[in-house]
Amino acid sequence: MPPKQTKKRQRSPSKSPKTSAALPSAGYLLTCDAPTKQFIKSLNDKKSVDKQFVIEDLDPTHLLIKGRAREEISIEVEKWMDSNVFSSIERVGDNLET
Amino acid sequence: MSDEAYNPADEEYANATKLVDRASKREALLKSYSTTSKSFATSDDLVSGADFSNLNLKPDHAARPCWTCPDGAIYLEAFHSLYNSAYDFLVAIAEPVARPEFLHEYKLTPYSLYAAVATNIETESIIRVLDRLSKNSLPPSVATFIRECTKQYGKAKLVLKHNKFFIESEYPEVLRELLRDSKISQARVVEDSSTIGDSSEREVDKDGFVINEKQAEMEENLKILRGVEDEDSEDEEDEVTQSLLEDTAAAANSSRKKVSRKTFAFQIQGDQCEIVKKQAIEMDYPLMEEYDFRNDTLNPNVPMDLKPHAKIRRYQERSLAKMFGNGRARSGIIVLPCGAGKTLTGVTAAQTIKKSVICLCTNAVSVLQWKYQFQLWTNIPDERICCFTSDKKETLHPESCVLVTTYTMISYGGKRSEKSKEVMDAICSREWGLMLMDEVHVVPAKMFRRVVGNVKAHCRLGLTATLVREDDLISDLNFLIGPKLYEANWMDLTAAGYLANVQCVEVWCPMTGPFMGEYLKPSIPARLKQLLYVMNPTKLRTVEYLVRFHEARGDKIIVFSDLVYSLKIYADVLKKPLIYGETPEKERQAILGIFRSTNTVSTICLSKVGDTSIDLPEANVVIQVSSHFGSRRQEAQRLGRILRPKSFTQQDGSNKSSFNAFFYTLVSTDTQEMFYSAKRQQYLIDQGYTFKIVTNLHELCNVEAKINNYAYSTPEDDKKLLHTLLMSDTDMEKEQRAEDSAIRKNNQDGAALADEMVKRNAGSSMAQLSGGTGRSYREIGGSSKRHPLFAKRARR
Repeated sequence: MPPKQTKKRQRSPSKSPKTSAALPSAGYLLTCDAPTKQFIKSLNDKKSVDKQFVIEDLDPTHLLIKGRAREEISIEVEKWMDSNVFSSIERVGDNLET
Repeated sequence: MSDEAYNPADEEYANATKLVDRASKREALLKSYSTTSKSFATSDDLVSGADFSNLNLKPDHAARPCWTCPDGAIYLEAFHSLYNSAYDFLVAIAEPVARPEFLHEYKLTPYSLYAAVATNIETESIIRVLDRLSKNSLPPSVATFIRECTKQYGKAKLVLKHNKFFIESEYPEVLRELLRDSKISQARVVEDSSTIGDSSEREVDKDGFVINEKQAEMEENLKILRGVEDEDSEDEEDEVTQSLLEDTAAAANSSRKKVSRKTFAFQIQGDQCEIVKKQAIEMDYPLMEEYDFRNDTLNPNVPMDLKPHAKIRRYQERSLAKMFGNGRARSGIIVLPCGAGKTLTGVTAAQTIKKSVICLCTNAVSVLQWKYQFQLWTNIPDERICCFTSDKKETLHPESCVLVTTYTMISYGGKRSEKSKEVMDAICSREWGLMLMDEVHVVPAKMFRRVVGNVKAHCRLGLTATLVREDDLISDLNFLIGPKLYEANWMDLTAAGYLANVQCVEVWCPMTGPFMGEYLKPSIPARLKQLLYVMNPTKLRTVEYLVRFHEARGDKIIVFSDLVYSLKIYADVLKKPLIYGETPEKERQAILGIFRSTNTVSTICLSKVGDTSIDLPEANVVIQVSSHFGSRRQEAQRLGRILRPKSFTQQDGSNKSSFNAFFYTLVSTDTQEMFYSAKRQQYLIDQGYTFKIVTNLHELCNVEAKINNYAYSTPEDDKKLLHTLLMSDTDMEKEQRAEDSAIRKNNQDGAALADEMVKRNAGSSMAQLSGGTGRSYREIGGSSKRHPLFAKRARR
């Protein structure tokens, strides 16, 4: 299966403290398709509040996340995508009549 | 329901299991060969399976079409000039595994070899021809395997002739071996000169075996074979090729050359027949049963002949030639794709035997279809054909007749109405010449045993399109009915224009954000998850787009959905009629009638009741929205709905170049459906179909939806839909259950029933339930032990 969603991570533009209400924090802008975003959000929701990594839900295809979670997200997304793939490799040497 | 009545059937089953066990032991033998031969293989060979680089290539390999591997796999080049004859040979001795366009894979199995022997191909000629066809010299392990598997199969036959049972063999030593068993020798009827004096051709040798000239019998029914053979061996110039060809042809219908071959036989008592059979299996000389219907004078004939307009196609002839190989009928299974004329094959078999025929179908609709086909193709008088279903019980013709009925009617164990009991008694007391079994892959073993126990038939013919099941009961059929006699190649039939050329398309529909969000919530039950990916709004829009597109082209469209709840929504969105389990028969016929004959309705929505029984010759587009998890059978059956050749299908060989039917499967990406869909396609891919994957159609559909004002075109619509779905949990459950019970009640689709059985009894995860893990499941016969009082409750 060809990878269909492209994820681009860019450093988000440096934030200047404009308002005092929201604390400025460094983050990564994550671009992906809508289903994948939902998956990443569900990953986030499974965690306890202090470990959550989504800073801001921007629009259907963008999330602002904490940098330290990058590794974990890409591993989990990879796993998730593989989980729905049927492979016929194990058929080699199998009893094919079943 | 007394226990005694089921004893013979149980025994039959016990015999079958014994044979299956033995076969798997032999299979293991071959596996052990292949492992020893690849013991030197390094670890990175594991992916490719095995290393065959040590095989010897013959110098003239280019003229030969096959590769034979030590593990029993045979690869055939489909573009080779010898393809046709090699194909006929291989299909007789090996199991087709995958048959894509250019390279076919076959596998030698104990079952396939058993089938080969059953159709009179000898061990040594299998080995000789295989060696000739092979590019590499035949691996010794394969030769040993073939010898091992065929050593004892098919050496002795149980022949029913002149209404007496004979054990017949070409090898007197085999008969002597069998007679060493005390039970068999007790059952023997010793021939003396008075009983055989009537026939001048017969002689008795010193052991008292009757010797027959084989030729006399062979002569009778070989006309069909000859015709085909002559076709094969035309215009071949190359000498090597010529000799190869002859040999292949000779092996494929071997009996021709053995003109002077003699057979030996001794008679056994009819009532001891079962015991003898069992004893023979015990000794590992399974008896093949043959029915000499021409010399059956006790059972009256049915006056029927094919009408002149019935044209038998080459592959149908071939399959029947296997069945009537030497003028006698033998039991077995014929596999032909949907729409390739299974019914005509069955009818032809019935009219060849011309004895009483019992024809078993899966449901009442196909009972009517079979009856109609009998009347269409043969001149059978009306009073000689009768139906036996829950609402139509016709009395049997006192002499002989064709009876069309359903599996459930015969195997039903409970109390029957008076009329039904009367008919049933008549069925049980009659000797049937042939038992025709339609869609034989669906019959659960238990039901089958009852059928066999209730009906005495001399010969059994199973017909099916898809010899796959998600449980492991196929190999049982090999011994319960008989070996697979013939399996047609889908691609060849398509090329010849006997089947519509279908373009298979898998359309990827990404889930919309909110739907995915709900789908991923761990608290959502599996049923609802399924509903979410089935009702994915992208799918809705794509379906609407496809329906509009094809209707504009003048196509006839079927939309399939397994979930009744979603089926209703789809029908509502499209504003099209729908048929599901609870639709009354009248309404069904009305809808189908309009669909077939007029253009006012060119799209209908069907639940899984439409998988098999409904014949819609004009439909040429199938859109599959949801399906029964990973069921390969269902996928093939649904494709079968549009396989019947259309009026515009070319019969001149150019059919392959253009598509005239379309099979769409809509898949929600990133969900379990992706997995199931890939699994479902395996069977069709093995038959040579290619699935085209379309990934970006949804973008177009989304745009179209907005322009043309589809029912669900905006995110607000989607949200509303999502809301109703989340609220619908109980509704859906209820409807699905109603559907399932409606199906079970009418046995509308025995196939679904068979899958259902597995589903209810096997493992726990969704993937497991559908056979998704590629494992096989055994039926656990729980219900049989249940007290009848609780049977009803358990069914819910």
